[in-house]
Amino acid sequence: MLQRLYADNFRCLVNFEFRPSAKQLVIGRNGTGKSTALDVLSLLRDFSVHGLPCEDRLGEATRTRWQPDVMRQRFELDARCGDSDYQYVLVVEDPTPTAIGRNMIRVKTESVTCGGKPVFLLEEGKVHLFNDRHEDKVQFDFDWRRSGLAIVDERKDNQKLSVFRRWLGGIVHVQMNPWAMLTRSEHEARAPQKNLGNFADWYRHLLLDSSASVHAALADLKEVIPGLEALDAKEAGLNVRVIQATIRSRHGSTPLPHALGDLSEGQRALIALYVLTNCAITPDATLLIDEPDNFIALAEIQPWLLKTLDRVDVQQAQVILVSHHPELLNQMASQGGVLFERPDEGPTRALPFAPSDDSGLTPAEIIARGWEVG
Amino acid sequence: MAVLVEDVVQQNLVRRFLERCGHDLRACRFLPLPAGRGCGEKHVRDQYPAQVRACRSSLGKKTSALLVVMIDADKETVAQRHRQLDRELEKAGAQGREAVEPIAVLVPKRHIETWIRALLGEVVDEDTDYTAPVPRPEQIALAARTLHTLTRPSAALSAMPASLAVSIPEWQRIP
Repeated sequence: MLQRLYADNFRCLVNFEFRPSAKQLVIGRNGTGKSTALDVLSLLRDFSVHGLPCEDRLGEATRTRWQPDVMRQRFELDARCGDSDYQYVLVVEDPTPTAIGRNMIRVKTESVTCGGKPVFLLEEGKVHLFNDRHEDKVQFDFDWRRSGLAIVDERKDNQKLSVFRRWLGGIVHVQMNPWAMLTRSEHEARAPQKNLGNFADWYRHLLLDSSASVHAALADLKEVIPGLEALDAKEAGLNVRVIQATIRSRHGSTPLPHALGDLSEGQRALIALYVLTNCAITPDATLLIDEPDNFIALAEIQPWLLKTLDRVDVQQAQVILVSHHPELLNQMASQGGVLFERPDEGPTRALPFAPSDDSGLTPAEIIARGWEVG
Repeated sequence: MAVLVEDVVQQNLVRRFLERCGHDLRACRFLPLPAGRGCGEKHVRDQYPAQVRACRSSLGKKTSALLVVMIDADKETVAQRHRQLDRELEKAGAQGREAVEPIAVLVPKRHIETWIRALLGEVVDEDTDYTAPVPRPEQIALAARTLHTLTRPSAALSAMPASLAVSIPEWQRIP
């Protein structure tokens, strides 16, 4: 579970600290950095575990605009995985700032500690690999443009590091776009993309890898989508599958197949949400959803939300939701909701949502009136 | 069915109880929780007349017109809380709650955490503040399970806080 996120010199995040709970709602006006904070988490996942170059997500492209002379970006994650407390630190800098548009980054420092003791260090271009007894066993020079953590293989003697890598690599960050959810899958994907453009690939993988969770999602979806009987990956050529819902209409006795892409945007969003709830909320996992309430009917929001929060409890997982929707605000804001704000269009600050108001208004009404601040 | 409560702990206990009763939670509307701290009781009193009116207007039209209300007695008595709610109806020009109406009003004293601890087998009194630590979800689920057993018509009633004992007929209004 993510316990603390720190980011400095990343878009509107300057010396920014955020300590999310297991069931965290993030609220705030447009442009206050809510989505940016979630982007930091998926950036660190992609750069530091998946080894992606992220040239357009680090350095010049994302440094805070109003401090052009500050070339260094710093990120820190504090996480509790199993029974251990981890800290990950990544410092990147632009070694020789010159022309506009050139985007060069250099990893100044990258480290992971477990219980305050080192399990990984990359410093001044040299990687230090520690075993589970925190002994510095291996050192080698490394490409300073990339994450050293990303290339570490899991071994018997580096299980502490592996636990952290699995948690960070397993962060799921979604901002649903049902129009991007294609019917056709040509391969499996172990994780969903942010816009769920590879939903079909991910679902295909889940059918094989997490069939019990998919079964549970389908049971939920049968209550939500009238007449739904199945959601399968049907063979449609060599290595090609299409995601197909079988729906029985009240006007006909035979259930009819519907390609995922033929369903309404709302139905696709419901499918995505219930699959996420059942398949992405697993023990210790962290799920980030930016505006989950988009596209779905008002009457569907609360049942999905309460089911999701229950699952977080049962799985001892974590969900961080960003929303402006009254249904989410009225259920979650007063239970530890965090308000992001940017006084004078400066850096983002994360504050507890704690209105001094005793008017009896709902959180959504307080926010709608602009009374959430001060 | 609508559920009007002060906070998430009350909401969770009612949800778990409804689940034990076999209700489809998708058909239950959990009304907004209040924003400010310490204003839950006022929130319930403020919302009560409108929710009673909505419940009455839906009688015979909807499959379940039940309204479940929970409000802590705090330092008041259970009877005082019931009278305050009746006064809210009076102020709104509505009739008082009739015994036959599908409206369950549950008043824990001193607060919901007192009931939860009692249902988990702790010896409690109704004056002590038990709000910390906040009960964990699995503790609430266990408490709801015991509560469900206690509220069955043939249940043998053991020693329990007075406010919980007098609430049994109210819980039994929930089918």
